[in-house]
Amino acid sequence: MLSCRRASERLSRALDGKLAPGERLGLWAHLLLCGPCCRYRKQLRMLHEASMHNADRAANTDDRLSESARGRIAGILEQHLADGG
Amino acid sequence: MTQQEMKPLAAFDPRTWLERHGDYLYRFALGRVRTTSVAEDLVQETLLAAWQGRDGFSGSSTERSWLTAILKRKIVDLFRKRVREQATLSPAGDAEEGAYDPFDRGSHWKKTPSDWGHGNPAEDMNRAEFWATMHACLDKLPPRLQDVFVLRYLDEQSAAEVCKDLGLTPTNLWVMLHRARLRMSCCLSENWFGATKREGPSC
Repeated sequence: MLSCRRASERLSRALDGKLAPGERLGLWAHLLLCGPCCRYRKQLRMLHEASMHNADRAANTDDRLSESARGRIAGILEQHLADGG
Repeated sequence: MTQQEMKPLAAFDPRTWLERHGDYLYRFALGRVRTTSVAEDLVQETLLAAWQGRDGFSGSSTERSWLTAILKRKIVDLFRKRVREQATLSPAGDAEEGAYDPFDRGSHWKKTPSDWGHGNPAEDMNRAEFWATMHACLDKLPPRLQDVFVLRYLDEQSAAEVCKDLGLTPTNLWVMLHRARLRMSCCLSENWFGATKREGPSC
């Protein structure tokens, strides 16, 4: 019987690629009997979903470039424009 | 100079990019690298690269999506460099990354993972506090795990692409992502889903 340690590894790997049929079967059998790993699977699914969602959004905050950074970047761009690119 | 020759210059003025998209690019970068000065440098490098590569702008995409694509490449380049540098300090780094172990000697969970089912995930994801917690948990990951995890989800890169970008074998990558996920699950359980802090190694 697959250990919880190995089952958790396979649950993670399944998010990044395909498991071999035998690996999937072993995992399935383990999950039938193991409540804690079923919970972990649920956690992983939500973490995965949230992480993908996070990738789409430019952090929805009020963060802005500071005036000093903006000035510095503008200065460097000016310099490149003056040098002709 | 004729009007025709003037046109590209007027259309490609990086100073207007900074004005129109600077804050957006900054926030996008900050969501991934979490350090103000690094995010600022990324914006600067992006605008410079865009200016130098302005002939490659086809006009088929919007200015912002074009700039964002360049920024994403810059973030990948940065992570690739960082992960490779960190790979040379491997033994200590590897021990730190593997230090959080929620399994006992029999390979059973030391503590049953908490039930996240009581909330509505979509509802959680609409709340700014959730993302603040998510980012705080990301910040707590050891540096290399953080970079690998963020890169995996940047633009939904496939695992194969991440391996190629970082010069890792698939097995290396799976181990690192697995370790990052165990820690993220623990951290979100404790800080968002209200599980009591567990004894033993901290995640």
